Amino acid sequence: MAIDFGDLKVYERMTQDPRFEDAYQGCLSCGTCESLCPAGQFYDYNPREVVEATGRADEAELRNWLENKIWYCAQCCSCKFRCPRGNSAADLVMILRDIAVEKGWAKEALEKYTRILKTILTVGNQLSPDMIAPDFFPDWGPRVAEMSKHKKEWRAELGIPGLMPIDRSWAVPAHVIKELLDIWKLSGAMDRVEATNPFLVELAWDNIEEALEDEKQAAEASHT
Amino acid sequence: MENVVVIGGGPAGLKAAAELRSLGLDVALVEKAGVLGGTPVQEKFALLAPELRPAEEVVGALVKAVQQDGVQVHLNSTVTAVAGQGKDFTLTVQNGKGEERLQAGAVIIATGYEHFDPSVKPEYGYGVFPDVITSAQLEGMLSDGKVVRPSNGQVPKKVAILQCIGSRDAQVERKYCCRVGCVVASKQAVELRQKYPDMQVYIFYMDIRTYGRGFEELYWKAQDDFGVRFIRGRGAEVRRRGDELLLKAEETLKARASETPFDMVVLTVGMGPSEGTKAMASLFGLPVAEDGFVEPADRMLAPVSTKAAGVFVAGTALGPKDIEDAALEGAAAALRAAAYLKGGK
Ligand code: SF4
Ligand code: SF4
Ligand code: SF4
Repeated sequence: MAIDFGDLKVYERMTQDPRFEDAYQGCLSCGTCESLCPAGQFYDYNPREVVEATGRADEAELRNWLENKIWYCAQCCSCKFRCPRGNSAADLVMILRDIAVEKGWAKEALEKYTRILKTILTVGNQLSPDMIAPDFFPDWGPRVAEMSKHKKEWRAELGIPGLMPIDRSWAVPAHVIKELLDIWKLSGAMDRVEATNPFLVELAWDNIEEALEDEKQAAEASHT
Repeated sequence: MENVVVIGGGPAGLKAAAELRSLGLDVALVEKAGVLGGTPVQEKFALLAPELRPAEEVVGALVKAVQQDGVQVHLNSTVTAVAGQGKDFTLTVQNGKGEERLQAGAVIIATGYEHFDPSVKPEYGYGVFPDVITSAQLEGMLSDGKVVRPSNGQVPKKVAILQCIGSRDAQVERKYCCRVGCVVASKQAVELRQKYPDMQVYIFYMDIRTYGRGFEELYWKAQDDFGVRFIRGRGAEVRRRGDELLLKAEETLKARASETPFDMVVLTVGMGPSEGTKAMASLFGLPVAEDGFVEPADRMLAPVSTKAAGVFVAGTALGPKDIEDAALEGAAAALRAAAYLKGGK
């Protein structure tokens, strides 16, 4: 995807991020970050490049990263905790990702995460047991695969009310999700989601209205 | 009183003591260990860079000068207290037998350094994998005439030397360069290749820093005459597979991460202030800099003087350096101490 950068000064914009000061100190070009980077093993990706491009305020290279490479990082932070200069390629990538999201350039990259985002916005947590299916994890082996078919029964057997469902990790009450949505709205997170996927935001508010209504009715029913 | 106590019997302290004698002053030399010579003797340095002269020959000459010049030597001794000031110090010295007092008009602190302990950085497997050793251990093996893998007693076929371990590293709060590691590694690689022509020797480095006279030439020689392979990239992590070690590093000039098998990994360990240096700094109330070494009165203009009148400092107590520079500072401190006793500053 070709991005129209307009008059964006990527380096300048990065330096305005509060994380920048800790993320970049100068670089020894030692390669420790790249040696340990799991993304570097699979993609044409080298965290040292984004650090050095930052050090040179290399607009062309930083734009190049914004186009694509920032989405390869697994945010494992190996680079951050071993860098002898105390840099964090992980955080530089995160700053660039935020720029991409804010500008609406992240649509394509984040499309595959729509389901996760939707889950967070509607049920209040990200992973649900039914997402973790044997087809995705062939290394599980037959025994675990067989067990996982009966997640629902296993979890019910636990007898812990919040942990019964399998379409979410635990059941978050509607009024708590509403609070989360309000916090995300105030903090600007919802604007970011909107820039990437406006449909999701609409869906979240519709969903919470219904859920609150259900909650209210359920409460009334239990009182009468 | 025309009497100087030198604390520390390494190259700086030995040179200081000998020079003070040549100026006609009485000198007592206090050394913690049971032998003179300092770290080069205790850690059995082999050949010295860049001239490839036996350490024994060089340090031996310094020791001999002290022994012949009538320096009063106190071995197995440490200074535990100091009283007085100006030109009238009384030092309490503890040895195996008890305590004694030494009078001094001036004091020279030459208490040296200590190698970085690489087990602080577990990613290199030091202390876990027997074939990961320090440059100091390799030096001892070279002195003993046999370099073998501790795991099986065999001569290694492929050796990696990793530079800057415990130097230039904010993760262990040591930002400074060890200054000698690059020439020492070049020298060790030359020695290995001389002794075992079939051995492959790789040096993983970020920058080769060969500032001293003859250092760069030795680095060139390692490349030109001995086929030592220099890879630009910091060794990042060592793990074990079977009986070999796997080293992760990025070959930065190719922008390519690699994992390479070796039989032995040598960590070129940096220098930090020794316990003795820390203890003397606190005993004499000397400021230490951010790097932990003693801060002299003025790094450029009074590099071997301190803020305390009559207290001088020399050698690696002031920061990493090679034997030549340490001895030079010893001589400079001797001159400053003598001038001080003669009524100058
Ligand atoms: S955080 Fe990203 S850049 Fe850093 S090591 Fe992990 S995958 Fe690589
Ligand atoms: S680990 Fe740190 S100093 Fe080394 S290349 Fe990466 S960012 Fe630069
Ligand atoms: S002298 Fe060489 S090995 Fe030692 S810290 Fe400096 S660059 Fe690293």
